[in-house]
Amino acid sequence: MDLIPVITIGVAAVLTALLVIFSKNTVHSALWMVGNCFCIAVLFLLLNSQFIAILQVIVYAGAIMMFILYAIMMLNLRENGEPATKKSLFIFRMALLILFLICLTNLCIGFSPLALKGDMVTQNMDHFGEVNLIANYIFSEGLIPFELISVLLTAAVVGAVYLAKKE
Amino acid sequence: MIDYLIIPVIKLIVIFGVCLFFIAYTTWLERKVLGHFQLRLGPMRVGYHGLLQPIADGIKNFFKEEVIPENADKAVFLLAPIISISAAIILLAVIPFGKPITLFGKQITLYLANPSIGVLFILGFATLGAYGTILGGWSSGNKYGYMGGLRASAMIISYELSMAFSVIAIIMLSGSFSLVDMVNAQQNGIWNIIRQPVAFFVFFISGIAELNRIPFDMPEAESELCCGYNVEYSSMKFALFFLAEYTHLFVFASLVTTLFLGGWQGPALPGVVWFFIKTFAVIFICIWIRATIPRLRYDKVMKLEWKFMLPVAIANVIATGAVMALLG
Amino acid sequence: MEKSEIINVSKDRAEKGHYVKPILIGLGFTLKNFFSKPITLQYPDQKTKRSERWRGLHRLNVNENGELKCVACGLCAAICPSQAITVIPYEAEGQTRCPEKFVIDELRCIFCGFCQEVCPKEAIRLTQIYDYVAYNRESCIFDIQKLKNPDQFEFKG
Repeated sequence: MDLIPVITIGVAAVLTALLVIFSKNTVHSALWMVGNCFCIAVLFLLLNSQFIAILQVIVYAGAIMMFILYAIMMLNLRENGEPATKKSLFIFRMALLILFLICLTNLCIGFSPLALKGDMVTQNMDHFGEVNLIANYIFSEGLIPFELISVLLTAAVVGAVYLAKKE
Repeated sequence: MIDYLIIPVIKLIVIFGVCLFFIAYTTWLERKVLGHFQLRLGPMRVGYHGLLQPIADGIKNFFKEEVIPENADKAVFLLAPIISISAAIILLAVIPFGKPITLFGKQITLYLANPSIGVLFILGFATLGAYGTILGGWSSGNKYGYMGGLRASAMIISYELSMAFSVIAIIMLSGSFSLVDMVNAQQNGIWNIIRQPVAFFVFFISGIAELNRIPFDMPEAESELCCGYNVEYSSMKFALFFLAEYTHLFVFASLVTTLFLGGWQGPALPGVVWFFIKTFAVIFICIWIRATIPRLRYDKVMKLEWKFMLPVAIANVIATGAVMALLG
Repeated sequence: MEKSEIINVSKDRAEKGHYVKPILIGLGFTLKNFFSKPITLQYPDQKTKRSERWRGLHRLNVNENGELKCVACGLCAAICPSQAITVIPYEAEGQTRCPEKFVIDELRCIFCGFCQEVCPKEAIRLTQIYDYVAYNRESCIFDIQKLKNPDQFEFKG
C-alpha cells in the first residue's frame, strides 16, 4: 500500500527533472525545478521526516529557486533558440552520464536501509527525521564537520563578493 | 471511520468556511476603517453601511471580461493566481483557533493539523505564495508587471530572513516548532510580546513587508508601477490575487496572535472569541499603519532590512540564548 | 492648512534615521481622525447647502390663472450672452401676448442670470436645481412644458 504514493511521486519527480532539462524557456525550467523540489519534499514526508521535508520546501523551493528566478529575470533570458552544441562531445557526455548512473546505483545500494544494520530498525526509522534527533546529531557528533561546512560556505560567500566587486 | 474521515472533513469545511467569510469581510473592514482614518465613510451603498460590499465585489468580478495579453506566457499566466491562492489558503490548516472542545462526547481540536513543524510550515508556504506574485509579473509580458515581480522576489528573499530569525527566539522560549505548544508555553499569562518585544517588533515589520502592504508595497506601487505585478490581470484572476493578499493578512495576524499575544488565551470569553478579537486588533493596526505611513523608497526598504532588521533579529537570538543559558 | 496639521521632518533627521518620533506623531494624528466625524456627504440623499442666490435650471412662472406670465417681449433672448433662448410670440385679438414657442438650450446656457434680471414681468426665474442629467442632447433643450415644471428633473438617486 505504501508503495503506490512513493512510486507515483517518484515518477513525478523524474518527470519534472526531465522537464527541467528539456524546457526551452528558462523560467519554465526553473518552475519545473520548483515542482521537482516539491516532489522530493513529499518523498521525505512519506519517509516520516517532516523536518527535512519542510527544509526542502523552505530552502530549495523557497529561497534558492527564488534566487535563481531572480537572476533569470534580472538577465531577462527569453527563448533565444538552441545554443550551439558540438557533436563531437556527444560520446564524452554519454560516458559521463553512464559513469554518474553507476555511481548513483552504488550509492543507493550502499545506503539503502536494507544494507544498514544496527540502529536502523523500524522503530528508529519512524523518528528518523525528527528535529530533536537531527539537532542532537549536528551539535554533538557532527559538530566539527558542521562548523567546518559553515566556514566553507562563508569563505564561498566572501569569495563570490570579492569576485563581483573586482574593479 | 468517524475519527479519521468525517470529523476532519467537517472541521475542514467549518474552518475554511468561517475563515474565508472573515477574509472576505477583511476587505470590507479595510475599506471601511481606511475611510474613517481619512475622514471618509467608506462603502455605504450596498446593504447597511456597505455590509454586502464583498458579495457585490465577488459577483462583479465573476462577470468581468477575462483578458489574456498577447505577449503573455499563457500557461504561467494562468498558473500564477492559482499558486498564489492555494499557497495562501493552505496556511489556514495549521493555525490553532482555540482550546480543544468536547462535542457529543468527542474531543475536537480547533485546528486541522498540528504538525511538529508548524511555524516552519507557515514560513515555507508563505514564501511559496510569492511565486504567484513573481510569475504573475513575469508572465504578463508587461514592463510594469515585470518590475513588480522583480521587486517582489528581492523583497521576499530579504524579509524572510529577519522574519525567520525573530521566530527562532520564540521557538527557543517554547522549545517546539508546533504552534499549539507555543500557545501553551504562554499559559502563565506572560505573553511573548512582553518577554520578546524586539522579536515582536522585527516580526511585525518584516511581516508587513512580506505581505506587500504599505509602507512596503514595492511590487504593486501604484504611482511607480501602476499596480505592478497584477496590472494585466482581470476578472476572477485578479480577484484570486486580491483574496490571496487578504488571506495572507489574516494568517499573518493570527500568527502574531499565536506567537506573541497568547493565542486563544484570555479571561471570561471562550478561546475562539479571544483569538478573533486579537486577530482583528492586529489587522486594525496593519490598516492603521497603512493609513499613516507613505511608501518607502525601494533602496531604503532594502537598507532597512539588511542594515537594521537582520542584525537586530540575530542579536536578539543571541541575547535570548545567553539569557536562557544563564538562567538555566 | 492649519499650523497644527503640518508635520515637519527635516532632511537631516530623516537621513540619520530619526523617523520614529514623526511616525508616532503621524499615527496619533490618523487615530485622532479615526475617532472624529467623517466629513462625507452621502450625495444623492444629502446635498450641500446652496446659496439662496444659486442659479440653476430655469423656470417659467405662471399667474394665478395658470397662464404664463411671459409676454414674449424677447428681452431675455436679446440679452442672453450665449444665445440660448429662442422666443416666438403669439398674438391674437383681445388676448394678452404670450409666447408660442419658448425654448432654452440648457447646454448653451451659462447660468449668468441676465434673463431673470432683465425680465419686466418676473416671468423667468432660475431655480436651485443643478444636477439635471440626460442620456442625449435633445433632452437638454427645454420647451415650455419642461420649463413650467423643472422640479421633476432634480436628481434624487
